[in-house]
Amino acid sequence: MKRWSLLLLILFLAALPLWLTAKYPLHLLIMVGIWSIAASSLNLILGYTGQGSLGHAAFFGIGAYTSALLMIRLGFSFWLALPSACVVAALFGFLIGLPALRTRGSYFAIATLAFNIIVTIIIEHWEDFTQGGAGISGIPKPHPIPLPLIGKIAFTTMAAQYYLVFFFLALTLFFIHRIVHSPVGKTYQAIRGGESLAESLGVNAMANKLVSFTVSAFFAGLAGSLYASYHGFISPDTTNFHIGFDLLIYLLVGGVATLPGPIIGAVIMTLIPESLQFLLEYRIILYGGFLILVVIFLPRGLVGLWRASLWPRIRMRFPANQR
Amino acid sequence: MGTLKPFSICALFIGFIFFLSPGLAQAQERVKIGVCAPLTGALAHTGKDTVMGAEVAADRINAAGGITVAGKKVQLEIMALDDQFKPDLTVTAVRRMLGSGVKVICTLASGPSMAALELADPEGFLLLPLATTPGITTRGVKLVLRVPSTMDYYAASMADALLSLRPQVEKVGIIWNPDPGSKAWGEIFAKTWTGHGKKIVVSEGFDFRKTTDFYPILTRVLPLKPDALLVITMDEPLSMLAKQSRELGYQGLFLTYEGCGDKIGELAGKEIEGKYLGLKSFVVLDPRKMENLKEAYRKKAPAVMPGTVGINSHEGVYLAALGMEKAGTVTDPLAIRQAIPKVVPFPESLRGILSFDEKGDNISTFVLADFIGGKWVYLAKVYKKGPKAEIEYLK
Repeated sequence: MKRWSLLLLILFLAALPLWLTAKYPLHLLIMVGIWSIAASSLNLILGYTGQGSLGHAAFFGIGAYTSALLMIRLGFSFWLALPSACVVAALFGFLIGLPALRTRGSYFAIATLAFNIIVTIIIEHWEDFTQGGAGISGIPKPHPIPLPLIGKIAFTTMAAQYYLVFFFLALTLFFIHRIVHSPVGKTYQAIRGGESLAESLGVNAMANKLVSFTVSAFFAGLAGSLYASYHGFISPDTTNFHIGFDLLIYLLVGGVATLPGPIIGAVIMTLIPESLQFLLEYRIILYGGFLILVVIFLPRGLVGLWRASLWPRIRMRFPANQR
Repeated sequence: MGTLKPFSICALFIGFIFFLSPGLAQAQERVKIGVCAPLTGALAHTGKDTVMGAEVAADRINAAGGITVAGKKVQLEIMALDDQFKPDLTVTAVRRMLGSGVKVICTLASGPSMAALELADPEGFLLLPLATTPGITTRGVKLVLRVPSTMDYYAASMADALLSLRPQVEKVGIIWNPDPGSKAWGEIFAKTWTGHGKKIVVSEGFDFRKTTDFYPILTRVLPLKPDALLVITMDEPLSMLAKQSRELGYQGLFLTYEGCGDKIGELAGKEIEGKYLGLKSFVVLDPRKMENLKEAYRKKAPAVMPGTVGINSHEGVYLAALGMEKAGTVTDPLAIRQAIPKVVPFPESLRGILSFDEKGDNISTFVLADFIGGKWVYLAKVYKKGPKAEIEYLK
């Protein structure tokens, strides 16, 4: 039944742009897709490996800037710039992870946050290279790609951008799913459960954390690259640490260490503030109140609530459903 | 029941998306003008000033019967959305406005304006940025007209005007707030000033937002004996810096940029008395115009006074409305864009826009003022149409 549900959901998401032609809702969905990839990347290191990174906006921004600079300055195609951006972000993840992952808990969080702030300052002040506070404009959209049977796919329409982002979201989720359900993923979860205990059983915690952090930075770079190409403009704001906190909130609301959690969090925290625009600052009070309630009463997020409470009740009420 | 879960999720999702979808087009008698500004967060006060200026302009125009477009009376409505000063949220706000039929949108700061600029030509709306960053109008976008002048315009004109108004000044020291805009302002001034064969003794960044002790920087700068200090910051930090400079024996002139207002007179009147050259980007010479604007503000919100960003957005809405009237359309952004240069200068304008160039930048009059005898004395009107600023001395 799980497979059927998944197939139905994929079909629904694929059919969405056929009748949802207004650009604003499509734009929101594209942003949900990009934030879902970024939040899923954070989920790997924070949710599954238990290392609370507050610097993921830096990898997101490094991905965005790498892909923008490669396309604008060196004339790379998007299809080359995107993997390069992911690799560069991963490389930074590896280099920062080497010293930062030797710390634990809040020390690691502060170290990654400090790295994020440094990245923002460098991007803001290295004007000859990054164009500083003025930002980079005119970032090209992906080149059309020829596909057998379908013909050329151009990425000039919102629907095409939507499919592109959701293709990469699906790819991200697939890889993260494979990682966390592999023996390596079990090792990550063992480290999350107790690093010293895992080490006492022969797990090389540092090496595993470093791989997890590097892979996580890779996917954050992917999200940044998609963001840059979709918006056509990036500025030092793209690396602002507030983005890292937003990603953290998506995880908390959706459910840490669950595959759908980051997506549910991104959907809710993108769509609800938009729908409450008319409330102005009261919206922020509601937003804050909602977060407090989630943190206190739903430590596993909405997915945790569904799995631990709602779904078992539905199954009890409709026993046929269990078959 | 087997498929209840995904169907329920899908149904909820579809409902939500439709809930967010723009409503039906407004009746023809009303036209919306969009304003994207930070209405929450640390910069909410700036955003609210922006929206207030736009709403006051719409109220004034509507109270006078609205605008006449192709023989029909049209009332204005402001659609303000919160972008929290984040470029990606500006894009979201712009998309939402476009879905509601908005064809003219004001954006506040540089980053949000640059993000919105990417959509202007492809999506067909006229962008009226309230930011002074030059890059907004150098990308060849057709559907853009800037409401304030660029920082290039102000900084270069200020250097030209200083040369004429204070010919005895040779050496200038520049202290700028460490943000890209302030730094660029200082660099353009320095380039123009040295182009006149004069000297810049120092150009240094200083974080005015975090520090109130200016002795460390002043003890480095003042021994270089500048005749004038150009301080690119707001009224409050400048007032403290002026006091500490005088305590250290500095007797020279203070120069400021368009972001510094009249409050400096109240805060450090004694220190700047007769030795100040402030750039006032609004035509303050006709007090009736400002009084009319204040009166309109009082009607809407008695406790709020018009500030720089409010006056900018007020001007932007007037430009949009008069442009629509002149073009005879509320839906063709290119026609509105082409009509706006034909409606300036207009009677309610405080900014004194004289004309627009082909890029979409304006040529505006500004005033240079000194603080003498406890009040502002306007020394000269300045505008720059050619390579050098035109200066009209005032009695």
